[in-house]
Amino acid sequence: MSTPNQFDPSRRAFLGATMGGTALSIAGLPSQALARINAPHEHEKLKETTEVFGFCDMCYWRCGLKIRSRDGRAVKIDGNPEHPNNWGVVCGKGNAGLMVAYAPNRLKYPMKRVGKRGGGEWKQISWDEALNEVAENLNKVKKEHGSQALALIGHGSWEKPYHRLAHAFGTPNTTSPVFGLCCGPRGLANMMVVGRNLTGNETIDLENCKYFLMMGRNVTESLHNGETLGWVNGVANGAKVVYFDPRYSITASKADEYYALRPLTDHAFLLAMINVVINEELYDKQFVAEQTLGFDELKERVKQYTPEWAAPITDVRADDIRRLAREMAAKAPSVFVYAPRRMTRSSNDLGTGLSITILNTLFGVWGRKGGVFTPQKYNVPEPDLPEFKHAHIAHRVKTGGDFDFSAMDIPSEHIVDEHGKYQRADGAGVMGRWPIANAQYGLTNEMWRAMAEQKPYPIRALITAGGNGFLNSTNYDIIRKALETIDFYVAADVIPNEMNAYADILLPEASYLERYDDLQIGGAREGYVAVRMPAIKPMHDTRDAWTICKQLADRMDLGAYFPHESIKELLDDRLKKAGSSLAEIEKVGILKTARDDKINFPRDHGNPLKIKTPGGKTKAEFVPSMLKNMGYDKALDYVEQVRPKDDEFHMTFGRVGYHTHARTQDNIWTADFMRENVLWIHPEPATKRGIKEGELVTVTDQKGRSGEIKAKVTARIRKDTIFMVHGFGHWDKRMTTAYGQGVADSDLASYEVEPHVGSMSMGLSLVKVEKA
Amino acid sequence: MSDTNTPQMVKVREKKTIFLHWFNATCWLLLLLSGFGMISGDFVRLAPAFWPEFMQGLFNGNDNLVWVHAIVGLAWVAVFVLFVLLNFKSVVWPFLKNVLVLTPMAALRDTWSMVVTLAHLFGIMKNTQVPPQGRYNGAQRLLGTMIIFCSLLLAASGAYLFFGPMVFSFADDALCGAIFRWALVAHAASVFLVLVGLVAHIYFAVVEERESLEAMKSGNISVDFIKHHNELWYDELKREGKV
Amino acid sequence: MVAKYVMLADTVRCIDCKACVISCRAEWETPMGYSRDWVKQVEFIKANGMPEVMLFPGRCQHCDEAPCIEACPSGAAYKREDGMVLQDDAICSGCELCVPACPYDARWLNPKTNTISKCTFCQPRVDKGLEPACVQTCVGRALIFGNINDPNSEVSRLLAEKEWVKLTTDEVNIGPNHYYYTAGEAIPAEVMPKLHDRHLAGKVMENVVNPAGVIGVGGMVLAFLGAGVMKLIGRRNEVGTHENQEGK
Repeated sequence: MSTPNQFDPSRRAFLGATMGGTALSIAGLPSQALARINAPHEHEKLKETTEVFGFCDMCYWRCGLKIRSRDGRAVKIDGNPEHPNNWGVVCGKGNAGLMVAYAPNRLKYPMKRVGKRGGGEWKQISWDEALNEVAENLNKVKKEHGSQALALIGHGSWEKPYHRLAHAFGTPNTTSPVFGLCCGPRGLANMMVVGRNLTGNETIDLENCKYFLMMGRNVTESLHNGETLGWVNGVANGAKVVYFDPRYSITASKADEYYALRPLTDHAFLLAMINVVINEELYDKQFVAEQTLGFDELKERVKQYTPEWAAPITDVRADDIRRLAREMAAKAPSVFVYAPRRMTRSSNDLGTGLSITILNTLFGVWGRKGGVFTPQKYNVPEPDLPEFKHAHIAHRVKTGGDFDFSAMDIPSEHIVDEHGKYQRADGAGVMGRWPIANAQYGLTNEMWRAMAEQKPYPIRALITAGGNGFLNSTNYDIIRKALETIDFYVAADVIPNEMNAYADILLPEASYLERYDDLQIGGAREGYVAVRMPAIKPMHDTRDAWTICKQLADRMDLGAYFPHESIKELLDDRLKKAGSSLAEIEKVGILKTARDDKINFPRDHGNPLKIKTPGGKTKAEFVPSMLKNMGYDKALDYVEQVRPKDDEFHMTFGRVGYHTHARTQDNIWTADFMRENVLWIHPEPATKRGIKEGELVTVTDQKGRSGEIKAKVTARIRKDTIFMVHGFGHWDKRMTTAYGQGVADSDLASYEVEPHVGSMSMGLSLVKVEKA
Repeated sequence: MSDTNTPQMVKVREKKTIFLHWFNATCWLLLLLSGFGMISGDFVRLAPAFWPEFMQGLFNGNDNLVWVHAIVGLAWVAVFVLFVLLNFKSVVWPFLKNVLVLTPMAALRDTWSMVVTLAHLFGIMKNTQVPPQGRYNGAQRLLGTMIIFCSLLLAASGAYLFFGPMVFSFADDALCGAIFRWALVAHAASVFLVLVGLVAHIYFAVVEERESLEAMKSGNISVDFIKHHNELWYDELKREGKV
Repeated sequence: MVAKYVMLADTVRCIDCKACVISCRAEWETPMGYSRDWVKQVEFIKANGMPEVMLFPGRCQHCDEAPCIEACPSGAAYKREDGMVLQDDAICSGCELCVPACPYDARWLNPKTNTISKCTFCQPRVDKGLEPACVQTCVGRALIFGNINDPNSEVSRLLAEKEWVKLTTDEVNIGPNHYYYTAGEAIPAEVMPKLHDRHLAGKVMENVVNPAGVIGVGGMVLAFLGAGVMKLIGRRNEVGTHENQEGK
């Protein structure tokens, strides 16, 4: 540590340059007489930098960036003030993006596994060797088992080319954790009721909203710049915040009212709210009459869910429920019932999601100022490509959205559809399995199971693009078995982690500061298209996702799906079809449509809301017909949730503002604020167990999984609940900062499956805590 | 040989020694002016606030003033070192032998003679005789001894204050920073100590004993002066046949 | 009128995302383990038994009567006319006398440069017409920076609009230029400034060496002036006697 400084006389910049100044000051002396002269000083300088545009890869909100570089080194990440995802602000994680590029533990060159899979022994190989080997192995799997025997799991802002490669290869089995492990149920619920997904980059008119009913939406810690800033502005503009969470989060500290809701009982509270809104006729009568279906049926179904019924279940008093409903109605439609970002919690997430959407619909928030706006689109066509083998893929390519939950084509048979094509192995969008699960994003949890169990048909090869199957999922045994069962596994990533430790071939990706990527196309108040440009040359022998996929495609006779010579050519081609060019967008970073209130808030301008539900209706469906047809409308009814016995706790986990999932614990700038996670426990149960602040405790779930973690004894959590920050407990020794720090919540969370959607019900886990 | 109008003179100093004295004096003047100008900050400042402001403004920043102070200080040290090396046997060693007060008894004796001398100045203890003095009287010996040690301390602490931050990493080793802070204290304390003596030194040279000031210009001094002020030295000179 | 810069922190808008801290780290390349700014999270139980969390983004408060400047022996710590308390790296020797002088703990010895580092209100950025790095990146727009002497500035408008407080106590009230808005909540003691025990060397310098030096040198000068005057009087008397004798 201790390195004495070199002898460095330059620390005292000698007279030379300032001798003239001295002479001058002597000359000027008489006029100044003996008055006090302000001593001249040197001060810090702002060094010159060059600037390029990009968008962030530190979380999935993807803020617009300007990256400053000096002498070939990226030195500062600023926000792009023009980008509607962040309006120029950048969070701590975004600022710490530099330490992704400069991380000492990055994957630096292509590697081939030597020794046992997952054994952690590698040898460096060339890109040609690596790509040849991948192409050979994938072709072999295709020849022996068919193209459906390949699975792809992608996670991140650069996963798109891998999806395209897998689709071109001919497999339907491409998946992202975003549906089954995160937002699936909420996106699905919105789709079912109003034909809107309302996830990804939420389209809430936050600034003008007057009442936020937040169902555990910890918007300040599970933070997305534009969303958080919009919400803070809304609060500053006088919006009332009512926040529900078993934990007193930072968002709770900003709320006007806080309710330590009993974990998993959100649905009961929301049903009671619906009950009051309907019974007291607090809903938007015109909207309900003109643009909705099934109101009477809903009224009948929620009759039993009175506030008095909900109170003992939720720990929220009946008169509070009534008051909140009335308060909200008074402010409607500038109100919003805010779903949590990740809604893979209870055994009826679909029902919870539906009740949130129903409540918002009753308040008539859609297409209204202060409610939910209708986004604009910036139309940038995809290049012309040969046909893909599977229908849902063609749909995805057509819409071009990166986060489209709207594909609801549901084939009828189990493994093979009516055209003889294989259906998804995870059962997403497959009748008889998980028909309402999104067939584009799939159920990552079920894909791991399919690989582990080789059902309903063999999956023999896996590509992962980013992500961490262990820490973002919950059943380590299944994932380990899957990784050990398949014939070939190729992982592409920027950083090492527990999952890619199992790869046969490890492909190092360039970080998002070193590369071009496909365009970011989004819909906010304005439609926009944004570009990611390299701020620096690749530090290591790495390549970008598009180039890797193109070079793999060329080796597998799939070159037609990557018809451009380079990623730059692709971008230029796409932008030219949209009336711009790469050169043009590189100057500004983002192109936007003009803001248009008439599009954003049609109902404020006398126009009806455009609705098309998956059930084919042009009105919002309080009891979605598609669900009804499949018998899933039972999700509307409350399902009793698990309750801890005296010595047990609800196991909860969540985010902190400066870590993203399991991806930033090895980032030295974010780890600086939180190197390890701690277990939040209320003082009362802590005292009962003799646990003091900072002491090591053992936390054990009902399946016997356990870990040791330090305690944070705090009144900021319910007595029957514990909490820990997600993403810690890494055991991959290549992550030298994160290794062995804290406990992996994912190894304690439940791996029950939500019975309607097929997503995970991670919140059902009950744990015991004892002094270690 | 003796002339009643021109008193008998004796050469007691060589030119180089005289040069060294005035070089030393000049350095001290420059170092004091710049040094008092360098130390800012009300808690640690040595001179009234206007002085550092003025000096730092004059030199276009304290950085330059520090350089001036350091260069003069280094030159001061260098010339002294050179002088000692070249004239150790002929000048320095005899000087040290005459001046250094190292034993308690000697210190007591010199203090007594200094007290009496100073008392006479203010018209008290008129009846007490100053004991016979050598080449340097008690006060001079005490002052000289103090100045020698203070100078060594000043040189050492000054060198550390200037070079310390360049050579050591204070952040890595807290001791280096602590030494710096104490060096600052030692540097300032030494200066004050020397200044206290210097007041008397200058007073005697300028007011009381103009002849000794002359002697520091010409190197010659009258035998009478020695006889009167430095009886023991006179005896010594006589023994050696120099007078 | 010359500008006077102030920082406003609306704690209601702060979400403890650390963007300001990391932004500052990147902008000024501060070494790990040190930071020029921070966000303090204070947890406590309210009178009604409910938990509460308050967030206080902080940095150098650019005080009007900055004790760091008074403690700095080399003049490296200085205050610019526009109120910014800055640090002249070329002069700073890293003696750390200023570190305990700051009741807001805003100063630290930078192991990369071996000089004192602190928040400068991003003076080099401000001089170029940019906002401080922390302000530009602040997700909740909790940090607002500007010229209080410009009645049209955002800070002037906000200061007039809401009730802002400064972090001062009976003990420490040195004119900070950093304002906080807490929506009327009392500021917890944890974030209040505290006097620190200063370095012994500094105290010795201030309380022993300097007074002793002044008394010593001053006393000597006075004493010998006295002696000189006495001698002068004595000589005049002598001359007077001599003349009298001659006149006789």
